Amino acid sequence: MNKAIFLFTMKRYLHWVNLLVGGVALTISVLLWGLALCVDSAVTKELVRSCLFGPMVAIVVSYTVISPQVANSQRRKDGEYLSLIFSRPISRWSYVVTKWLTGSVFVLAIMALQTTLSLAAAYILSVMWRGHPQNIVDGYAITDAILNAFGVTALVVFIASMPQRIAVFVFILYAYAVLFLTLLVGTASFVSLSLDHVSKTVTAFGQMLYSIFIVGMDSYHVINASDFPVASAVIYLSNIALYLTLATLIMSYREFFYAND
Amino acid sequence: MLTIERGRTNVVPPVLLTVCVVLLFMRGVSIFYATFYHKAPERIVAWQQPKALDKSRRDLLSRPSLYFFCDNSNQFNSIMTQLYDNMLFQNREIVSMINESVVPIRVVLNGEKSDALAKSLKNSLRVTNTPSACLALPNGAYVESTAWQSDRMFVAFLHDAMEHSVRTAGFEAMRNTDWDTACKAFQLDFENKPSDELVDYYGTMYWSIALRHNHNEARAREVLQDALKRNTKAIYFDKDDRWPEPCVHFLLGEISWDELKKRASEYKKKHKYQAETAQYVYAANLLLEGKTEQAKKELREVAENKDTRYYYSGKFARAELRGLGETYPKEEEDNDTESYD
Repeated sequence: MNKAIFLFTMKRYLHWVNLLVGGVALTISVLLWGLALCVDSAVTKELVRSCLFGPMVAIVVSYTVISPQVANSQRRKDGEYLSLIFSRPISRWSYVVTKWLTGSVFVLAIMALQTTLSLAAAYILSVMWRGHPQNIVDGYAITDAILNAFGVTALVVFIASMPQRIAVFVFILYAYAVLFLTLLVGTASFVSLSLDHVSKTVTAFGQMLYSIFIVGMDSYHVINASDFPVASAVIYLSNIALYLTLATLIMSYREFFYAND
Repeated sequence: MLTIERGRTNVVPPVLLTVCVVLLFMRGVSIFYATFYHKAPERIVAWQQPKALDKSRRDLLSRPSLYFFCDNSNQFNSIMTQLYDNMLFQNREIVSMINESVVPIRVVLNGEKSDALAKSLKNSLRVTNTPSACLALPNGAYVESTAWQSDRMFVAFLHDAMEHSVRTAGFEAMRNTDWDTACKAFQLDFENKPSDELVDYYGTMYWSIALRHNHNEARAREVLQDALKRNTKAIYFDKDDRWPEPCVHFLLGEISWDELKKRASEYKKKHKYQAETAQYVYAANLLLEGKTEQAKKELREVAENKDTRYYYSGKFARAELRGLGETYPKEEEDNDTESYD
């Protein structure tokens, strides 16, 4: 991991454009989730949980701050010019890992901030209604947040290493899929773990291909399953290693194109 | 052709490549094993065979039944049933909740060829899609159902349904004019809720009526006063949400019948049920004051109102009249498992 890239990336996250856009999005989502947490219903509770700790926040936040399409443009005066960075003795691998770790830390910080503010909003609103805000923070939620932050950020690092046109297309496709699965409360986690048990009805080859695109893991399933779902844990770790390796390879082969960023 | 030379900054670390390849291999092995060699775990929920619903049962506070309806008539439904069996019913938290709190009953449907008992249970519990789970009281009264396949949502459903089953038991006991069970059920429902949570006016109102039938006037007043005290600071954005607060005031003797009628007519949804609820409360109050003839007249009006046949006010009115020796056939409403406040 490269300390200079870590600090530079962190500094870029606090750019006024990011702060402004992020602040508005955060305010809207905090009010929305705060309101939803006041409703005494399992669906709203799981929806908020899915939105706060699921892959949606991770994919949107990490893509916004990592991708060269958004963050490294020359339109920004503090642009991160890859051609300049890689004229130094910094390895592509180090750059990729640093971006992954910085992105994950930033995503976790945003998740923590959003959750704290949403709970505060829910408590204030519930005092008015004399109700009880639903509690969504537990060990499973914290574990899921960490797993999703690291898994999804690795995917985003991989997407961001692709040529711009392909990257935007893949990102939009993923963002839609994640949004769809997040809104189908609880289904995202169910899809990721159905592999182990329904395997008899699906071919192994189909599962192999399908599992490449699964980036999250649901700790509740893993801990409460009657037998430990080995495949899900292996798939999760394997995907992170795969995404980071592919990102390094792509960046290495694309070094002559950075000047066009 | 572009090549990457060893030692340059664009080299991919051999360790990373090795880890990536090893993990990909392990992924392949685990999926291959799960596909061809992994045996699905044994069913750990002790499912029972279905029996016909016994509507005469009065032990409404004993374990409710969890009916799991599955249909093996087509491939899609079979896969969905496997999902329930291999995921939901293998989740240790769900299994322990089911085994400790409910009587699990598995009803296997086979499309149009389903047997008569399965069909009858499906109709009685209003099952529209399979696989799905439905919680019902020991007498078959419907409580709640779900077709959600996420285990966390299923846990939430079970918690919610178990809570509702107590309240539903209270309402069902009122339909049987079993005031003892009704008082116990409403008391339990009240105790299950946090002390600073809003109180359900319907449950409290019917609880106070059951308490008065049990000659416990002081406690009946106490529960009504407590409900008003706890709900008084709440903010209602929809005025209709305050209903049936005026009925509580009436039962406490704070407003007259004319005033209650006037207040009931102020609500938007008055034509649906407010007027009938108010009239039932008025009639029940008359009955408890010993004005039986006048009470019968009012109860008959509520009982015979076709618009509110399935509302609790109508059902309770018919139950009270049956208790007073009048004949009101129960069969029609028993076929309908749904009830409204």
